[in-house]
Amino acid sequence: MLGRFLVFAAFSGMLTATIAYTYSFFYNNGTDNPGKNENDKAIKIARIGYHVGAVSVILTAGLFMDLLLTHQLQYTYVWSYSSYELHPPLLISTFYVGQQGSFLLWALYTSIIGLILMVYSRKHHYESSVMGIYSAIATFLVLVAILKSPFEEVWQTWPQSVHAGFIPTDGRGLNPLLENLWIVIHPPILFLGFASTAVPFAHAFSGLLRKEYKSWTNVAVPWTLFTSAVLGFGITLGGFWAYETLGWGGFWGWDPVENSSFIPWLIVVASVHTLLVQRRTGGFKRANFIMGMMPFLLVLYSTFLTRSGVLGDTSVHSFETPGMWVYVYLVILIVFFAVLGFGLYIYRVKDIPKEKINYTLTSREFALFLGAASLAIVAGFTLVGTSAPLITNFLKGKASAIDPSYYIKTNLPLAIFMAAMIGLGQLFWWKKTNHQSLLKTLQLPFTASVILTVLVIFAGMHSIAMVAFFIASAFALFVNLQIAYKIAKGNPRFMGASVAHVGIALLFIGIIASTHYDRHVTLALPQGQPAKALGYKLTYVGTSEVNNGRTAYNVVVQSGNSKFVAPLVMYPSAYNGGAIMRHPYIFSLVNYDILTHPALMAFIGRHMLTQDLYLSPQGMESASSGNGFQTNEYGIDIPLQLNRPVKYGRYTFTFKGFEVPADQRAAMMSGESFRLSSLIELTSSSGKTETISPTNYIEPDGQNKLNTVQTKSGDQFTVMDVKVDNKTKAAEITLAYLPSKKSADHSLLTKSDMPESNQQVLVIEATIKPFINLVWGGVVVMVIGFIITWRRRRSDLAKGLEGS
Amino acid sequence: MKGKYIVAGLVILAFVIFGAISFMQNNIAYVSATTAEQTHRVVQVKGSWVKSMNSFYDPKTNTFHFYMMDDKKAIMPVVLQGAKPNNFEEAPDIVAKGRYEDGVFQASDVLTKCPSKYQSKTGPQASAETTTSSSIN
Repeated sequence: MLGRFLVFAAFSGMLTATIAYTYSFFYNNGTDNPGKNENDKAIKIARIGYHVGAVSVILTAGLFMDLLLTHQLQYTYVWSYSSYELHPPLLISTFYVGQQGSFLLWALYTSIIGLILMVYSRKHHYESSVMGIYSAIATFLVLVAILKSPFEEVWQTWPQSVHAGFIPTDGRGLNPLLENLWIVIHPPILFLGFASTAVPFAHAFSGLLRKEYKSWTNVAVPWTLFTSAVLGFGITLGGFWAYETLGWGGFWGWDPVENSSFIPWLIVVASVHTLLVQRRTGGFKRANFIMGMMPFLLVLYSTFLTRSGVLGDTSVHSFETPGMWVYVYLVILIVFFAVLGFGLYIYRVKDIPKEKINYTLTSREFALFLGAASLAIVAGFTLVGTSAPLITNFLKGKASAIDPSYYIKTNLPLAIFMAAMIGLGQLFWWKKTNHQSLLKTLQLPFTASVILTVLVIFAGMHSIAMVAFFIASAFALFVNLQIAYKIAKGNPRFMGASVAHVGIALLFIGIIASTHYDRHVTLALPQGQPAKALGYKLTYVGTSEVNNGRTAYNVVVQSGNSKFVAPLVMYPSAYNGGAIMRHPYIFSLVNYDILTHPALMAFIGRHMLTQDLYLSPQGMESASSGNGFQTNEYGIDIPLQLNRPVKYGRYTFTFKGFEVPADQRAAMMSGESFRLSSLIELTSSSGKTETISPTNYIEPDGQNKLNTVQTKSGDQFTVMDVKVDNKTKAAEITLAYLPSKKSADHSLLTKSDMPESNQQVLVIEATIKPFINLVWGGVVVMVIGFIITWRRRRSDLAKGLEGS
Repeated sequence: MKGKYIVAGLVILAFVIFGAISFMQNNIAYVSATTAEQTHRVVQVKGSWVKSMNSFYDPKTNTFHFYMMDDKKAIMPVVLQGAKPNNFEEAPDIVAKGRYEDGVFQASDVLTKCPSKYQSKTGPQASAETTTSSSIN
């Protein structure tokens, strides 16, 4: 009851704030009227409303967390996602693994950010316009908890199966796929990034509302930088999780879930560039409103794609079947804010002054434009690819996904271009670049990148696209290192941009090396027999038990004289209906086993410093030496339904119906033994058709005497089983097909008389990922760059250095 | 000034065409087993594993051989590059991605679908029976 009350209080508070802020804004004739504001009653009500709303959301979240921590299993959500077995910190993560909880986390972040934004906007005199729209966003997010309460009790969810007051003995628990430290770290950071996109949206909207087309960007920039850093970091943690635990073999799979957080991030980062142009030259005034509003709308669209079930079975992620309400609600949300934002933009667009800026092709502003445009195009390509199921469903009436190669094909040319611009653009000056001094500063980084590229070509890089990507990235790296070094000697506060770009360049090089030059082999390891692969000696030595009674399949990895045992864990998960869960083992600097095993640290330091060895278990398989399919003595069983052709081997089989002679029909009716023939049409691959009719004798007790027929080609057919559903009259037979020894299909049979070596082998996939540490390192450097710039812009604002 | 817009327009047009072509080429259609055999394109076939026709893993070639029946009840032999996929036994539906070659569907990937993997439809009572062994502390 308390939960529902708090949610309602939160909603009322936020709604009050929305209305009162908007009223205050228009009451003051469409300005924030800083002088009079303090006497304005409406704005006082709005502030109280927002505080009531935000505090209620925080209390709601606190209560919800308490229910989870104290195992209040009478609540549907608690029962659905947690169990007694779970302890903190994993128990904490159940807060947001489900639909309602993740919306609550989003609302919580939005409310808290709003409290900071309120103080911030009050200081910079635009509170009522920015908080009005921001409170509206918060209101909509809180409304989710009213529409689909996280405090629903089990008897409300399943009124048929449980009585009121029923308390389940234990919950369903957490999906073991998620039982990992990363579920505690990754979603909270990602959601903070998602929630923070509402701030640039509110700023752009408020700028349009106040007809303040210039200076809104000054107050918005620190927030945009914050979102860039947090969202970028959150996305990478997801990639790291996928690499480290889930055994997908890579850090990025262009899956809808990954893409849907990547797209808003690209646009936020693009807007960092266009906002900089406006700050320096006054250009891009119109574009920046769009750039400011898009990330939030894209976050909503992403949520729609991944939460509403529209992607259906075209993704590897399994989505909850959320019900119609999420679908409808998210569509309403997108339409509402898109119409509001773009509507106001169109209404105001004529009014926005256009500043003529003079620039040359080798100016900083043009380079920034190209950079932002490339980011936006990458976002566009990725958005179209991710929406492929929707698009194909619309065009063809049938949803189908897109092959991940699409993303590489479309985005790779842009990435090469971007890498080159990251280098060149940093050397350009505002307005006009002095070409002679440009050539001079170019020399060192250009020479360095050419030398490095020649080296990697000798090392085996032969693809032209990869060489181009590499030389551009190396160039970007050296240029930005040079600039970062120069700035660091002068005023380190200004080195954010070059640090971020160093990070991107390192990331690019890491991507090239680890995804394009990875080597992998699949090995079948019989116990005790070593196999050599990828420069290591691998031996499966047997199993041992690890935590929770799970089994580790131990593989000794030997290089030179040193070795280390890698436990590859596989276990059936009851949560997932007995499906086999597999965990890879990675020899990597980021493997936290090195903290507890100094020997591993030394081993990796000696043999795997520049490359990860990634061992992924595939399964225990019995290595059968036969090359065919096992079957019974009558051949291969093929199920056939009436008039449904089945293709198998060289034939297409069509079961045309039964033939029961007149005298047998009476016997059948009276329940005596009877004879029945099944008419089966055989169409061979050459197009010839013949019909066979094997006969069965059915005894009253259901016993079935078989009769084999042979065709001219020597193939034999036997009807093994006859089934007729009395209600639907649907008939089904099982036909055994024994191909003639002369037929090519004969090889499909298992040679059951052949001795089989039924030895169990451990099948593993071993992969070398060169320089993957550059991917993680690059992102960390990039995020540091964002943070440096963010802090600088914040302190600039505080000092009143706006627009400098 | 006009020239600038024309150049920008042409660049955008080029990107749109490039994107559309790539999209079409890489869009993997869902087809029936029969259609899959006729085309030489990479396609996806949805269906189920025919358990009565046994399957095996060949460690020499690292391939998993099995038969699947599509929604129109046509059966096709599938050779998957790799070991038996996750959840293979439990999945009511599977999706094989690949192309037909020499009378066999050479699959590069097989996805398994567990529709109600993360959400219970039955409610707590049904599962209370299966989790009676869990301790309460």
